[in-house]
Amino acid sequence: MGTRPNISELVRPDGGIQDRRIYWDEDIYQMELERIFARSWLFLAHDSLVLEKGDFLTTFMGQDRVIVTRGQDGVVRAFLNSCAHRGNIICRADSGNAKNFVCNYHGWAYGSDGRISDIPLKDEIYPKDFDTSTVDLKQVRVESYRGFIFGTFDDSAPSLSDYLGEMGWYFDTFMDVPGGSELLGPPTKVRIKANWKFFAENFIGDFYHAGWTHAAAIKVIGGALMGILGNQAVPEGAMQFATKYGHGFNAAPGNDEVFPHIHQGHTAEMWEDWVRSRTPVLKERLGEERATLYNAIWDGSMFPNTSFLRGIDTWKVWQPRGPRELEVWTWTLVERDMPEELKRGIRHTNEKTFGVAGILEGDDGENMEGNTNTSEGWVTRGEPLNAEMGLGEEQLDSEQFPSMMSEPGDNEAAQRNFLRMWETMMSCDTWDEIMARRTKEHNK
Amino acid sequence: MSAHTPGSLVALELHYVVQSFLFREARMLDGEQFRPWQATLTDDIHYWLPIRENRFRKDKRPEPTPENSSSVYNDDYTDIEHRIQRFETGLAWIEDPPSRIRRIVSNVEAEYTDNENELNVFSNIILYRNRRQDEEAWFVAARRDRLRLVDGAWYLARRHIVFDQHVVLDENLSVFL
Repeated sequence: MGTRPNISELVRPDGGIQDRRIYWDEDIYQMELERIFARSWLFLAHDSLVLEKGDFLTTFMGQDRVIVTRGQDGVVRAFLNSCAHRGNIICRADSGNAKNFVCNYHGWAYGSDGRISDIPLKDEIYPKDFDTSTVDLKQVRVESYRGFIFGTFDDSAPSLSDYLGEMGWYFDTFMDVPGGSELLGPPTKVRIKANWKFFAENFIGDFYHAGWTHAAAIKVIGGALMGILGNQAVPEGAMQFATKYGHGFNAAPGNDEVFPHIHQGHTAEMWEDWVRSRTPVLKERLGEERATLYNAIWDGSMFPNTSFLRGIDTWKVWQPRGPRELEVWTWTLVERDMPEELKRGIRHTNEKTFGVAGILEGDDGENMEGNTNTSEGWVTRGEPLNAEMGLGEEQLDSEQFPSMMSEPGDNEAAQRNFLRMWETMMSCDTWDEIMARRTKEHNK
Repeated sequence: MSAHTPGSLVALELHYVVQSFLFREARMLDGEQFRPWQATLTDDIHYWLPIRENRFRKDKRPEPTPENSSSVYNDDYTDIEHRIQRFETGLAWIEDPPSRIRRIVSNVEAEYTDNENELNVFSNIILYRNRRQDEEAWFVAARRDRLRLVDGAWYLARRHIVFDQHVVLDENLSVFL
């Protein structure tokens, strides 16, 4: 085995300068699979996507295939989607309903708990003392937050709730509404030749690109977003948040008006009525700060590879496929108590703007491919990348909010924080070390 | 027009008209003549490309609809208008310089329906997209169209695209199929 890359040299301690190899190098990517994807809490599903007993879906944790299923006891579990006999993929459907999963190769069957339930001819051909517990499927540790189901392979990781940290407080803004939120699937999927981190960083805090990259779409359907067209002005009132374990987001509140969103026509009317009627409910339930955030457009990421937009209402996972390729999986985010007509309208907006043929999403892919593929050049690869916007202006202490908050929203504080979390996880051998380092950095 | 049995193939001359409609449409879209193409759509156009999940054959869930499932395209006339306007802003960087697009339309069948002014038209397409220096994408799809005769001219009233990739294997699908 080769020597490990010296990670701490690749991201400047304040996060503001990065070595391009972190977006390109195969050895670093393999380390990411081990140290980031096998140790973090990763998004698996929402309750609404595995509603009934036996409902299942197949997904990925990093590049590890997993089956997520609701057992006959009503509990959602996840386990590796690879037969313990010769390694074959067990379930090749994207979703469905099943009591057990049978490998195509020799018919080994597994129950909805991932434990071996049948080995054809076992008594005739296997040793008398064959210990079947050695061929159960490796379990994923599963926890959920307000119906959003996450998994990790690492038993020493903090609880999901601790891992979310302050982000849970912010997530409650739309997850702890009466009735909660849910996702509409199945996900749309598209393959892009770019490093997964460029997308996670873009969603975590790149307000700055919206007015330029998406100028064409904003000009056509931008409505109240027209103010940012062509990067002529810094959006007023926008804030950026960054939390202990690398999660963060931008929010631009509407204040007295309904916030700038991207819904059209009748959906826009229904949406605005909904936000107007719900904001006072949220104020009562969660307080002034989160009522303000409820009436705000958001773009955010949960470390490492889950992102979302509120006001466009998309939920995305950046599934890595190597250092230079990823799959973008996209669901629609809605509140469960919304009228069906509004949910359908929101799904339509999401598909039209941030789906596979989305008139905004289509703009991003090529930029991310360009960010990644210019590192083919040996000299180019040696040139650093810059994320110093707002450096030194971060407000670690906020009276109103539980985490770091920066203004204006055009900022790269959340990206730097994401990259510092990345560097911490890549450098530290244990979760104890990771937690100690992040706690030290974030203590007020 | 005499009554025709729904589902029966149209007469030779009408088949030629339908096929020419599809070929002309292909030429307009390959040449970015979006406004002339738009003029061949009815006001109530439904342009739909649903997600096709990998499901087991025994899976008895209903076929996807725009209401119960996810789509890549689920456009009405206004949505298509927005997509065209976006191209016309001069700010759509991703199409500047423009892609080179060519499509082959084949397997054309046209059938009478229970509406004497409407036909069901089936076709397959292969679309080649070449971008920038050397970026290539191939898309293969079947189309189930409804053509409508209005004042002596044919218009596209419905297009249901059966797209043959589950994971879209290019950075986006922002092309009319």
